[in-house]
Amino acid sequence: MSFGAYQFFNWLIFIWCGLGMLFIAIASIREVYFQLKKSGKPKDQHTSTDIKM
Amino acid sequence: MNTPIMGYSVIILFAVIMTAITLFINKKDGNQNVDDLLTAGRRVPFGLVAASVCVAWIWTGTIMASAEAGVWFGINGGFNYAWGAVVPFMIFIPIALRLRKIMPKTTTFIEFIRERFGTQLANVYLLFGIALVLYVCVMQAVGIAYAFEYTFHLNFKVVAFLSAVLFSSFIAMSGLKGSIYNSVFQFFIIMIVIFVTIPLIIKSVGLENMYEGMLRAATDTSHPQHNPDALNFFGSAGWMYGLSAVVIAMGQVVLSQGYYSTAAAASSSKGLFWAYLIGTILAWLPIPIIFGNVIGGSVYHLGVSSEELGVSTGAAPYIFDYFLGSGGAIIFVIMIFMAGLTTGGNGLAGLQAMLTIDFYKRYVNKQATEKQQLMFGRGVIFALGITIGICSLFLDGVSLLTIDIFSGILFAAPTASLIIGLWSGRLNPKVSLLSIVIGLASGLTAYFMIGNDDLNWFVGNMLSLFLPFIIIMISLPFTHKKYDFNKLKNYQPEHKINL
Repeated sequence: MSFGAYQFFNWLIFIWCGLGMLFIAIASIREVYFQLKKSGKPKDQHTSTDIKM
Repeated sequence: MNTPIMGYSVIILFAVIMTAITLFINKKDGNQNVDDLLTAGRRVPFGLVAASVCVAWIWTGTIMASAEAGVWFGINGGFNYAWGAVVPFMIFIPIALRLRKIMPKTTTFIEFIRERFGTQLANVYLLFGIALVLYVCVMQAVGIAYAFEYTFHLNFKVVAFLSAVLFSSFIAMSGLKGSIYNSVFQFFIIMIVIFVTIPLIIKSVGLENMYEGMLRAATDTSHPQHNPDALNFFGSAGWMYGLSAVVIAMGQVVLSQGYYSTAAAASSSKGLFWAYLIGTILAWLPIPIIFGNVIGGSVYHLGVSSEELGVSTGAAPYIFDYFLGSGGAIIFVIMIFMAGLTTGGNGLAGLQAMLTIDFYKRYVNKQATEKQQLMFGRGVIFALGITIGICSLFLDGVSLLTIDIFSGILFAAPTASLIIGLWSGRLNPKVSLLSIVIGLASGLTAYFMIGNDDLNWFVGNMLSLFLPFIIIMISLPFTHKKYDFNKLKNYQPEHKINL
């Protein structure tokens, strides 16, 4: 493997990991936020926190 | 800075954080019934499931053994560890979706086996399921103890025992919901640690130096890590290891009740599908590749021998300590500690489900109330935590990678009948049991009888996984009686389900 390919491989994996973890981080923060908001309003039983995919 | 007091402070800090999470959960909505405890009420949204799956699959071994694979096999070590471990999840996702579709009220895969194949096979799977979780938890306790011993010079046995008791008492009190919330919290810490420390190590070593180290290892026979395939992405030894990693991880995923419980906890099938796909392929898969590349490359650059790295899983803590100093070593230990606590916690949450539903209610107290089941579920997990702690005391000095490879032979054999039995109505219990016995026996025989140490583990793993599939596939055309899957739709467990 050439140095160029080695460098590209390392960058690719690092960016891939960053995007994946960031995506989950944003989605889970959003859901925790909505759950906390929901638990502040106990009477509202119909609020869904599930992401509509 | 790396004093034993600092090490114990880290353990105490995490004990406090986990206690706070337990108190928060119990204050917020408490564990009202058995289903709440075992499946978090089946209302967990996509993002939390994805974070939980990702972190639960980050074992201490994901970090330490993938780093080790990077040292052993060079450029393709981390990659082969990663793809090998992620393939079973690509098989697990359809399994979880199918189970949810054909048997919506199930919690454990043992319930499915009992309805589909009968009590005898269900008990066999229960034994495998319990053994697997115990093995997983012992591995986590051992991994944590290695990291603390290496960095803080703490007593291996004390740390192994304490960490087992810590994650078991946490799950005993907070159940699957606690495991999921804890995973989400630790997901963020692990993410921050990876994105701070890895670039710092790369900056200290330099990608050019890593590359040159590997080039030297490939060409210079006097290099302590001499490996002609160090820079060959298609080096056969690494790919053989990757194939074996599929087998090793297959049983660890398909027989782990923790993943079924997390799947049951997902609020929708669509959410479950995307959470498992994104949690594994997008977020988890690159992590072992990064550790294999960066730690492996750093070791090649330094030219240190395996003996200098300490115990055989010591490459990662050695590099963190060497390039980032005591601060880096402490951060590394925290990451390992969190990886172990979340994986152990997820495994024990699954074990809690199996023992409460498939053992206590069925064999110990058939008239058990929900309150009695809850009490049993909590008590037994705490007791098992102590058992796990005691078992891990005996593994001081044993390589995590070696234990991992052997476990593949033990747990791969039962996967074939579970997978095929979910889709094919023709598979009968006798053939299923036979396939497990033959697969396990042939795998163990190959492992112990083949004299070549570079081949025995590979042949053993392959036989244990693939022989049962072959036996079952040959038997199917000869079976005329077909199982009716529609019966499972009406399955009613003996505890209240929150659907």
